[in-house]
Amino acid sequence: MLEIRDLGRTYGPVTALAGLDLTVRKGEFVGIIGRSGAGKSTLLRLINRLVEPTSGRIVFDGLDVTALRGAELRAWRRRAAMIFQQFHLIDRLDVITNVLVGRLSQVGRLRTWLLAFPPAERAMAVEALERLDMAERALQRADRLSGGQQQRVAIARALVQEPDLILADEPIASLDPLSARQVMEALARINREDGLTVLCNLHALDVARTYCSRVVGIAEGRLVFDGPVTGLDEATIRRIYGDEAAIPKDAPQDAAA
Amino acid sequence: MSSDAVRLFETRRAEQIAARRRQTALFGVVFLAAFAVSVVVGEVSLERLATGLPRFFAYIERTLPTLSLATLGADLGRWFWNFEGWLRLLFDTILIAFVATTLGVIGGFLLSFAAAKNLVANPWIHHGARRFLELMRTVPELVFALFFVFAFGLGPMAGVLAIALHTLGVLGKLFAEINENVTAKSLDGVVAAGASFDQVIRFGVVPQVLPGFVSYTLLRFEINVRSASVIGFVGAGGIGQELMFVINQFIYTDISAILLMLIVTVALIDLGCEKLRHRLIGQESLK
Amino acid sequence: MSRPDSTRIAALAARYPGTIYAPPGQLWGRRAVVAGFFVAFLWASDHLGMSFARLLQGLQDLGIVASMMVPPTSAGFFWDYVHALGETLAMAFLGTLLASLASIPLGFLGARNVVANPVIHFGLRRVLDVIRGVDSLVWALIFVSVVGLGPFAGILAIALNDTGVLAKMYAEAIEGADRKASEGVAAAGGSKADIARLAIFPQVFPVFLSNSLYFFEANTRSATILGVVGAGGIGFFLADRIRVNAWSDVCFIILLILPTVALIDYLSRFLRERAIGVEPPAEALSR
Ligand SMILES: Nc1ncnc2c1ncn2[C@@H]1O[C@H](COP(=O)(O)OP(=O)(O)OP(=O)(O)O)[C@@H](O)[C@H]1O
Ligand SMILES: [Mg+2]
Repeated sequence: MLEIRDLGRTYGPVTALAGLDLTVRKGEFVGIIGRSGAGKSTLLRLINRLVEPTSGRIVFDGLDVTALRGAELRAWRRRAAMIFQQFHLIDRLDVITNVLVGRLSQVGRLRTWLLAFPPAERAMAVEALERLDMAERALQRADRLSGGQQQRVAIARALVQEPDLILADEPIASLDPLSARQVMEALARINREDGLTVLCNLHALDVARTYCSRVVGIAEGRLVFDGPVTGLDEATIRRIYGDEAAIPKDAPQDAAA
Repeated sequence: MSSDAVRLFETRRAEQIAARRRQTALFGVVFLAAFAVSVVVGEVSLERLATGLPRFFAYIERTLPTLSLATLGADLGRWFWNFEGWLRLLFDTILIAFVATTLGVIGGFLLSFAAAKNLVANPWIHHGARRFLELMRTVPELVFALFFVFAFGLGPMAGVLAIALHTLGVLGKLFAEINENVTAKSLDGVVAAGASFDQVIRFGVVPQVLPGFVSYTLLRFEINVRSASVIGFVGAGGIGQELMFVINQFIYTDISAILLMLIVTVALIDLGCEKLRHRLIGQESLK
Repeated sequence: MSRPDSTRIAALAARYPGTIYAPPGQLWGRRAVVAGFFVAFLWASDHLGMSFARLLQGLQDLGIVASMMVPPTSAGFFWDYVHALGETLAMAFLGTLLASLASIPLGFLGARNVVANPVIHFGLRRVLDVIRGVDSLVWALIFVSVVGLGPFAGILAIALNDTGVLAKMYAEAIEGADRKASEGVAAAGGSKADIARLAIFPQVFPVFLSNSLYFFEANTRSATILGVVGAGGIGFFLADRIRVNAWSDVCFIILLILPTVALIDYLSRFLRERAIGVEPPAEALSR
């Protein structure tokens, strides 16, 4: 169970997130919605500790995530796998090595420096790729793939981390509709089959409606909605997206992460 | 109203042009002053130039051997009378450059990450590493060699260490600048997966910067072969000592023979490095 | 996900060949290259007489030298040192200037898109190779025997060596110039000379300037050692004081050189970044 209490982060005068409380049970698929700049990325990055909080606490199954340092912090990051809008793969390395980045914390230092991963680790990476229909491409360079394929490689990388949580930061915002569907289906399947908790930032409301059992709305760094998809009525939507975005049926797809 | 705007624009433009002119004039004055002072301090005169250049060409001419077609073999044999000895010295020279470049690259590689401010948050570390690299870069290898000949004795070891240290400075600084261009994006993906600092370097940085590193290294190797050829002037090994001897003793044809061998060697290495550079950078297996 | 057992590994390896076990040829090929390099490095180090024992002994001696360097003293030579440092700067400045001026026409002559005649092109490039293949210290030694001791020899040495490097780079910059502008001038009825002057020169001039500034910076560093062979500048004093083991004097001289070189570095970088905005190519930066 992920418990977030009074979480806040400021950048100088800018408040990215303030006093956020959220509890996520194991196996939930939570969509986080909000307009650009609302603080969605900040929330996920805080959970993975890519960003340090300025206030509040994050507790996972009794473990105080915000207090972790060094090796313990790295162990936590392995358990809270990130997926990024821009994929964040290593362009010049092949697909399988990119997936093996998810195993770095489990493999000896010298082996990682020499890119000499043990067969069992490599097999695990291939299996993860196979689940995402990408095993055929294992030996290709990552930058030769389409956006949707790259995102599936990134999901495979997250899978081999053997995580407890998947934190997906607008995973489909840079993808065409078909690729977007494949990626969302993959996340949904992982959620279903492996029982992994998924927190997924989304711009498009209809995507949230299709895939998420629960939706969290953030506006200007504050939580303004938390409930089942069915609870999303016109008024709530206006509260999340602000007045001018009256009918955000298909909210903008362009904003960067 | 529009003519006002035009007038404003025109005066602004005139001001800008005037400022530019003033800058150019100032630069010109400084340049001329520097030139005048340099000519005096550098003991340059047209007369010296006029007498010096013909003497230089005469000197070059004197170094050329007399070759005739009838006795070409014998003439060449006489010109390169010490071919094997010089070849051995040349070989040592290349080895000095090879070992020194390798050591310098290893040192520069390691320090370049400490000297990159996007990778190391602690300002003491990256400033310290930067200043150290700059110092090593500023001190010419020959100065290091003078010290090292004293400490390590005459011979190639002093030369190797001297060139290695200078190379470490030059390459470390260039490598660090490449590292600083690495995007946060490529780091985040690896950090978020729970990698340790050195793994972040290995996966988030190295693949991206390696082509640049290799390119600079190969360029530097060629320069180091040339440096290794003169490091012997202060007794630090290689062909330099022999070269200085024949120049100082005015053994003219030996000068041209040694220089010719040196030039061919450097040109071949230049060519080889260029080929290798293009092949490695074009190749995807470079990890 | 879980770590697969051996039967699953074997099945995957069969289904996706090369993913789990690299093809043996590739694997052993890579290992052979690495091992070969390693062996070559060790053999070369041994051949050059390098050893850890000597390294440790030498480092001890260097420690003693360092302790003898403080406090730095000028022993009444302060103004001689300042004058020699001025000579060094003058040598770098005039040498770079001469080389830059000479390299402009040579660069155009050596560029394939300006002078189509392959004989001129080939011949000039080879001459430049010869000049470049010989280190400026060798040229300095030769010029000392031609025009006598002093900074004038150093200026000529720098000028000659840099002409070899700069003219080649200029020629390459010209060959890399955008062709559209050239075609425009040609279409308007311009001659070859018009094309060079109107279409190519404005494009490549910033690169030339940036290169020359960088070379001035690099030459300031290398001019500090030309005095070792008597070609003027602070290097004479430096080598002399090291030879007689006057370490506190050596320290004083180095403390004079370092800020001077740093100042020139800063000036050159400032002008390159602010006034020109173009970085020289990798070939220049690795010098
Ligand atoms: N590194 C940073 N430095 C300064 N301000 C930042 C930084 N990161 C985020 N912010 C600010 O914090 C606020 C929230 O940003 P965040 O990236 O979390 O928004 P978001 O909801 O993910 O938006 P988007 O949909 O555009 O990705 C914004 O106002 C942003 O400008
Ligand atoms: Mg975002």
